[in-house]
Amino acid sequence: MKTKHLLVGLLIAGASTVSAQNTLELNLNHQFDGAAFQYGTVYQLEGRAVRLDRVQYYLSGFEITHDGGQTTTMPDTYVLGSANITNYSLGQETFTTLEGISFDLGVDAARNGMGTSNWPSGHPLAAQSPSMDWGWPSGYFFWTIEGMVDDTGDGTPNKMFQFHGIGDHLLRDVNGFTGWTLSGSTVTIDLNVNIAGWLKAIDLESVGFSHDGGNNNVAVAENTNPNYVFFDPASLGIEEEAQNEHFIHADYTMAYAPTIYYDLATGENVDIRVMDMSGSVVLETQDQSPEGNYFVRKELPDGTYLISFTNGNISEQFRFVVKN
Amino acid sequence: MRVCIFEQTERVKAAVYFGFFVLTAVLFMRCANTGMAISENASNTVPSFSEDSTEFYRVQLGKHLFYDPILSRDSTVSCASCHKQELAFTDGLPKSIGIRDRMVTRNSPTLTNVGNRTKFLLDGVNPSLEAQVGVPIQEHNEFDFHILLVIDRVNKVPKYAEWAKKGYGSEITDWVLKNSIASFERTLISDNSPYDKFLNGNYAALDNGQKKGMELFFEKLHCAQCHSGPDFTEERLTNNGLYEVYADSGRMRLTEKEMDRAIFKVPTLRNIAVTAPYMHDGSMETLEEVIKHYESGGHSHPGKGEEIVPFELTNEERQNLIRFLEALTDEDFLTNPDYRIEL
Ligand code: HEC
Ligand code: HEC
Repeated sequence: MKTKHLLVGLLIAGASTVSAQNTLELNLNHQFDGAAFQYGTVYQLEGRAVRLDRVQYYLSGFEITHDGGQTTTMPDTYVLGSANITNYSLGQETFTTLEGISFDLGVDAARNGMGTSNWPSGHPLAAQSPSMDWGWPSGYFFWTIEGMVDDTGDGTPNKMFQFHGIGDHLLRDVNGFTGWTLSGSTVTIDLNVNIAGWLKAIDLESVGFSHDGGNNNVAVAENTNPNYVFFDPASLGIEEEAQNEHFIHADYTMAYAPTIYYDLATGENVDIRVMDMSGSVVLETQDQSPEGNYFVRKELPDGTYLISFTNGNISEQFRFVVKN
Repeated sequence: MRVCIFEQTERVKAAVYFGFFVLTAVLFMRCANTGMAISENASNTVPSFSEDSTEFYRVQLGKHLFYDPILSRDSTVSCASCHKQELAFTDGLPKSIGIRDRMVTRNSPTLTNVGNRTKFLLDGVNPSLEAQVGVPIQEHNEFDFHILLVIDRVNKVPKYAEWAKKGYGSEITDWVLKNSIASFERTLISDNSPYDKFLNGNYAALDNGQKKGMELFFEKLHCAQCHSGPDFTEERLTNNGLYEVYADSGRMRLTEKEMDRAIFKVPTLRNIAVTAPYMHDGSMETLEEVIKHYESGGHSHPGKGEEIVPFELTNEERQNLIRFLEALTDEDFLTNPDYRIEL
């Protein structure tokens, strides 16, 4: 009889929470050993000058802990993290109090084996620009970390390195986060991502193009834990600073169709416009997030172009080059 | 799926005394006895679609895309640049050349019966023919392009948009592009070589020398341990001792496992006489060179198949083996107008 009562109780609890779907958001605050991260900035890492031009990574295998230690997996939630983007949607889940979250760095083996063509455009696992996959199954880049390191000692990063982590063996559990009591119809999880943590104790001068699952990428994977990279800022009493600068950076991986990474000092959506030097608009899109990766998805002739981001409060322009 | 003819060693050996004519007769009876129709070996015939089926439009779209250089960034290279029909969809080069004369690191493989394969790329790391379409598009040394820009380009070609609509009921997407080309590739079926004709009961399709070569291939030497099945490959992953130290790490490039170093997929031998040069790096120009390599037992390599051991052939035997391999050439496949487009 006891068990039956318990069951009924659970059913009621279940039924009452079904109506309360919560929107889960994830804020990933990218940092470089404590400093707010920006592309193109020269940082010191273990005594060498380092500059990063691209940092993107997949998160999958999300599982939340809620309401007294219950766990719910979120098998269809994928995040493509970009160092210039803070806000990500994890979708809808049902809970009253969120107590913790865990996830993996990389793409789970099942989906990693499916290729990009099964996903609608815009999905993190669909084709990206610049590419986040090798074009064949088992071929998502779990992360792309590209930049320059100073190997002459003059303080100017001059030697290129690129990590593109490939292969199921690189998937890593990120240490779980617990001890929270978050509630509300929209719950935002705040985590800091210390990009420098991934690069610790790796001889960046000898990395070159590591587009594989080899030792350099294994080292990145191993650096993910414990707490090198993802950590809970609240646990360290770190306060977020308001951003009052616009960050815009061109990724020339595909110099003939660059991608513009941007993070604007505005909370409102923006209209984006690409113009050639005569002022003619060649591409245009409205109502976009104030942070994102804008793929110049058009075959344009060589030349200098201007991209503008505007809303009622800001009007920011940035020059980039197209080279076929 | 093993070829049935030479399965029963004792009988084969006994039959040799009665000469080849008797031998083949006995073997065919044995196959018949086990209920396996010989013709099943060469299982496929080119499928024909009614002009209005969705399949017809899928293949039609895929075939034209296969031949269209707009898939490459500067519109100079198409799939067919490296996979030419008259060479059984290879390119005759040691290593392929892509956009802006950039050299690819490997030899272009035949697409003969590629629809029967389940592992793609020379090291077999890719499990899908659809996904294989994405590889050259993105490769720096091949099309050096981006799938999304390719999709934008092909959607602008009215006939492609129309065929996609008829074949898929949609515009060209990532999936439509890949599936249509893969659908065309699945029609690349070769089953009418002299060897196939022989299997189908035309004993005169092979001459005596070729029959002796066939016996060497299946019986005396170990070729068929690896080059097995109707397509002379069942996709075993192994090493044939080309080098002690390989420049190409083979399967290991993806798996990162030492045991996968210089491990490659056993390639099909159908149409082999027209697909020179040979091996993953195109390092052997003739079949004679290939056979002399096997005669030597190859270099020692930890991954080398245990069947690769030295043996000796007389000049005549070597020629017979080569002539048997030549009997795997299917002229109909090399000239089939269905595999071409009118320009
Ligand atoms: C620049 C030359 C080149 C171009 C262009 C090219 N290929 Fe290939 N293809 C190759 C080479 C080389 C390989 C082997 C690559 C490897 O193993 O890494 C290959 C492998 C393949 C395979 C795998 C075959 C097997 O048995 O494993 C298929 C299928 C294929 N190509 C189809 C295509 C299609 C479809 C296109 C056009 C979208 C194309 N290729 C364009 C050179 C080329
Ligand atoms: C242990 C397995 C094995 C055995 C036994 C074997 N092969 Fe191979 N063969 C391979 C592999 C693997 C390759 C591809 C190697 C590479 O590309 O590096 C190959 C390649 C070839 C090629 C070149 C194919 C191409 O398209 O480039 C020919 C021809 C060939 N073998 C014929 C033979 C003959 C004839 C015999 C018997 C004397 C034989 N093989 C025995 C595994 C084997």
